[in-house]
Amino acid sequence: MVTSDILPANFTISAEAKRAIKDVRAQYDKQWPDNPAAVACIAWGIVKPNDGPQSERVIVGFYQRSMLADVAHGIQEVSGVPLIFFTTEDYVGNFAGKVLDYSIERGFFLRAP
Amino acid sequence: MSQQNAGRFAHEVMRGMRPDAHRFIRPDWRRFVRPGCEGEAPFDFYECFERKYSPDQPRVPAGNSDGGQWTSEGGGGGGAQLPTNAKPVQHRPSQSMRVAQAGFGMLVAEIPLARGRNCVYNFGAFSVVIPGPTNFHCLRSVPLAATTHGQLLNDNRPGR
Repeated sequence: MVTSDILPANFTISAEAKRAIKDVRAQYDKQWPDNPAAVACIAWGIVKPNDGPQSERVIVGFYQRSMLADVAHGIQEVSGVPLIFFTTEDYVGNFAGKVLDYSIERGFFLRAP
Repeated sequence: MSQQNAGRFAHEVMRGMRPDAHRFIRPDWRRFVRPGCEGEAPFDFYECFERKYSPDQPRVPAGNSDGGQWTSEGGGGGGAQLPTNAKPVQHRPSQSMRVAQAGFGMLVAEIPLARGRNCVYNFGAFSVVIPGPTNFHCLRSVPLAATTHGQLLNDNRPGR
């Protein structure tokens, strides 16, 4: 694979996760009203505490309006949500066939359909 | 220092240095570097390292229970663990302050890999590394609530 390839999104998004993604968007818009959120970004993240073991989880963020033109070529629509699937072949398997869901206790997580 | 002397100095430094010397640099070495010097290799800014003793560091005034003790100058606070080939990302101080208050982790480095890159975000107590391709930019920031748990995210949602 060359790094210019765009990996197709291989997951779906639950209704609860869609609502939570809207909340994340609102956080961006509140923080940067002059550069609001434009398109969601779904990624796999490795959390490294200063002390203690690291963990891995799905990450949700937003590209802001100022960056939209740079990423527009890779926007995909998943369960009605336009997004950038920002990951590599090493981690794309973590999303395969899963549902991106959300709960207060767990935040964003991937589960079986 | 003339260009010839600078080249000779660099040669002397490298001659006495192990090829894997970068492994022996503390991963949190940026904590000890003054603002404005973070983007350079450590041996390029020796003068930027904070010393244990500084005659200019403020002390607690006499008459207090801690009189004479050094006071904190702020700073510190869990930097990301960056390899030597990391490309630090600069932010305006005012921007970083606003982000910290709102609970966003800011992009602090983009680390090139053989097949992509790692985007590194600093949250203070922890860092988040997001491996990604080269055909998209790293996000400039990631919300804390989207990386840990949902409590903060849902605080503004009535009835939850």
